[in-house]
Amino acid sequence: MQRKGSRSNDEWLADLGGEDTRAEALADLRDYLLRAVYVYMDRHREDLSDLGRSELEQMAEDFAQDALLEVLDRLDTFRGESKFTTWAYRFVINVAAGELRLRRWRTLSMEAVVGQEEVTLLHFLSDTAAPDPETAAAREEIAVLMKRVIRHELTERQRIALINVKLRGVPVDVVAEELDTNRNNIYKLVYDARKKLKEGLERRHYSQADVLAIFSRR
Amino acid sequence: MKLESFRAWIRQIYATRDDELTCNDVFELIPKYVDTEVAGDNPVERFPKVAHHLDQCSRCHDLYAGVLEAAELEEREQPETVAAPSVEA
Repeated sequence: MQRKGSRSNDEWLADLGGEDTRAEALADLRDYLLRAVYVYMDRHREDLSDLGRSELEQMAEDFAQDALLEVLDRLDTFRGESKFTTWAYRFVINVAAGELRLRRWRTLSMEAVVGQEEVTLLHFLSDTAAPDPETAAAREEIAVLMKRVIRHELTERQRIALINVKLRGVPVDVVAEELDTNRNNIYKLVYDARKKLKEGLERRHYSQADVLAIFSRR
Repeated sequence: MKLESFRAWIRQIYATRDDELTCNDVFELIPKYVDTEVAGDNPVERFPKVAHHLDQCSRCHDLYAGVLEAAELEEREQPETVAAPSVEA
């Protein structure tokens, strides 16, 4: 893959806007995006192990092309506060990250993303034996308290977002799709849930140090 | 949920702040955050709210890590690259 020498931000904008320079600048930018997405895909290659070389190349090309269109669409929002290429990389990584996470989850399970309200923290913690009966009781008290907050103080959407994103590890993009919303709103739902859990624990005078001590390995 | 995962989640819960950035905010700030890091400065000090969000949001952290890798690769391969413009929090 050949690229011209690096451009300054002003040169990128001038070349992408110039009639005679646009085609070459677009090709160079596409190369930058392609390199970025190859590095990203290499880091996540375990999620792509079922794909052959040509399929991986096609996937990377598609990501770069989608991102290139997005970069051009957003070009007038670039204010020169960062390097142009760094500004552009986030589009291609965002496209790739979203698709890879959706793909990984679909290969595992697309079922039961919603309707997990009855999942309990005790279930999640059942694989960790407490060192003594006193600690076991303290752990159960905290788990019951958190479960009560989740069941009775969260809205349904907060509960679904929290349980799936934080407890089940479902990708944010998948939960956003299921709840017919966007990643930003999923973050807000999980944020509101975190806030209520924090308030619930503090209301019972549990500090972070208290909870971590109860759930430490001893 | 393993014990360590639960402990990490507890830390996230107690780290909850009233003024957290959204994913959209962070998407806009990641280039400046990454350029600061590639330039050898401490992005956590300059952009503490972004750092806080990255600790809370695995999706945004993955995006940050991907952009950082690409920017570092570019920096390594093009040492003559013009220095990034100064950034402000």
